[in-house]
Amino acid sequence: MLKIQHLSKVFAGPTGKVEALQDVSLTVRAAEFVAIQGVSGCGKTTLLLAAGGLLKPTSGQITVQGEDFYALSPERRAQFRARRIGFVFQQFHLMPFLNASDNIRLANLAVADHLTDERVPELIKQFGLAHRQEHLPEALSTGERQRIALARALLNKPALLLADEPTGNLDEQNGAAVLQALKDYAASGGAVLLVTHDIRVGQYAHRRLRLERGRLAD
Amino acid sequence: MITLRHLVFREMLYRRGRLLLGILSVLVAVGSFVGAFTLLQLHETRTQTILQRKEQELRRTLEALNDQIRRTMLSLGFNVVILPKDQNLADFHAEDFAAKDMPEEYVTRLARSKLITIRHLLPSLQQKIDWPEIGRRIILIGTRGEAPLLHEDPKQSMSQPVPPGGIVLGYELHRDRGLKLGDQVSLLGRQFTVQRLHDERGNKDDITAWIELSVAQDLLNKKGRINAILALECFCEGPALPQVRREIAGILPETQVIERSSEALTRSEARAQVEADGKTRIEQERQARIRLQRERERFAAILVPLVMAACAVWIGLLTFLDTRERRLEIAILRALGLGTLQVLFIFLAKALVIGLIGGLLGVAAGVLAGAQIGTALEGGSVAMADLLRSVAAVLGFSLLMAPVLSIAASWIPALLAAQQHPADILREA
Repeated sequence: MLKIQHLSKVFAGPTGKVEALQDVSLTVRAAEFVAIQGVSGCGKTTLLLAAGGLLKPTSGQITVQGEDFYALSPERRAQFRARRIGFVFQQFHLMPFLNASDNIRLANLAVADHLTDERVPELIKQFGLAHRQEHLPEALSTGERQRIALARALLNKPALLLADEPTGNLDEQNGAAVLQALKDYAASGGAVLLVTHDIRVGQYAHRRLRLERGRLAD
Repeated sequence: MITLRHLVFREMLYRRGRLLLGILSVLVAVGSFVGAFTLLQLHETRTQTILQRKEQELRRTLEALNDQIRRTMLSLGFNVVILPKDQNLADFHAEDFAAKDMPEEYVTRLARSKLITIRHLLPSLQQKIDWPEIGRRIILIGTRGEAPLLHEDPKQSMSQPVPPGGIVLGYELHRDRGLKLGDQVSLLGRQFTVQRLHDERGNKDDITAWIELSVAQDLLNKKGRINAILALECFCEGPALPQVRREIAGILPETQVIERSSEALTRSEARAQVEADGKTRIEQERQARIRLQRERERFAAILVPLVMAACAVWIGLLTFLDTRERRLEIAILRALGLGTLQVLFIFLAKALVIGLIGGLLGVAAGVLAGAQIGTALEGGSVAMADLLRSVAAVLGFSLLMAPVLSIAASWIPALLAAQQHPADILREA
């Protein structure tokens, strides 16, 4: 599903080059839930953004479902991302001016698929948001916001779900619910790549990897 | 299904304060343009109104004068000169005396006619002669100096008569010789007593000598002949000179009639003067208002672009602040698959809406402000039709200009926002 080969990413920093990722190779198969752990600044988010087609690597190759999407034009890559990849972030990043159901529908904005839109009520029900669907994010709890973000990421049934510290701002109960949802999604056939500090992830992920100073360790 | 349009409107409604600031900016820009335009147009309309009113006033004045003249022509007399029919008028006007002559009896015939009323009839015999005794050429006029009608309808005589043996001398004829009243002078061998001495008049009178008509006829060997009758204050029932001419022609078929200065003529000249003065004043008013219009146009040509530039900068700044605040939203939208053009669309569509709403409100505000200022500057009130004309003249252009201004001002910050790399923002978040 997701195949990363010899990925390196170098940033130009104020004091010189910063090697955020060094020769990272990784495969996440369909129906697999892989968690990457590491301290802050070890390159977890960089790896996730590169895997999601948002950050072009300095070297190496990334394919999703066999497609080297960095070889695509920016427009086609954006479409590819919209259809095949879902994102969940620590800060949720919901649109403050859209209510809960419209925030979920936002994932369909670039796809514009009526059938996809019909899944919104199902996801609202699945994540226990039926009574909150008309509320703006500012009126929701952090747990509810993250569930909306998760529902948004799953709306298009992406082949690959990328989650960046999705439990970082949640209490134990909500965090566990999110991890369970990720596990469930993997069980339904999706590939999940999670980067997190959360030690509970061991109970949910199929594999755990450590990222240290931009390199994957066993 | 959610769309970009949906996204734009929901965001605008959510951040109403910034929306209103944007609309206000466009409103001020468009309002200043429309206000200046309205003010100038109202000034022009007002100018037309003032000039039309003045022209109407002048027309009324002239009509009143025409009416007065018409009535004057009916009620006041003409001064006419009756000349022999074969007298060349060009010679008459050049020399101011008639070379041809006619019977003196014409005077009596005219006086006795009932067709017209003439207050005074002054027959005269005039001729240029050499005055051998003083060695110069003079005009000799023989006149009765009295009107035959005075016997029937006594009125003050128009001129003092010259008695037989008397002579009246023009200025040049008495000045050189130092003649005084009562002095004796010899003219063509006949002695005359100086009856009157005229002061300098600067015309042919200065070289004219007046003597009694019958004496003049003797001296000039034209017994019973005259060559002009001056008929003063002729009255008739019909409309003026043509009728007087016709009636005199009926009485004296061997004559021709020309008009001398009369009150009617004076009034006619006064009317022409009033018309000329009135037209001059109207033209001066027109020029003054054109100058004022030009000054206001120059002022507007500086002020309006400045205001519009300031508003454009303000709109650009608002868009820049908007894009700064919405960096994360942009990054998420990009992560969700939106391209650069779609993100650009989100900001420019907002600018378009702001431009349209601001443009509409700006037209309304500009027209009302222009009308208020116009009323304050010009006085009077502004007609609704004039306002509607102003609106119609600028509505289309303003509704085009306002969105263009708004989009142009937003373009650079929106483009910069659309080109931001989402990964940079998400890594910072």
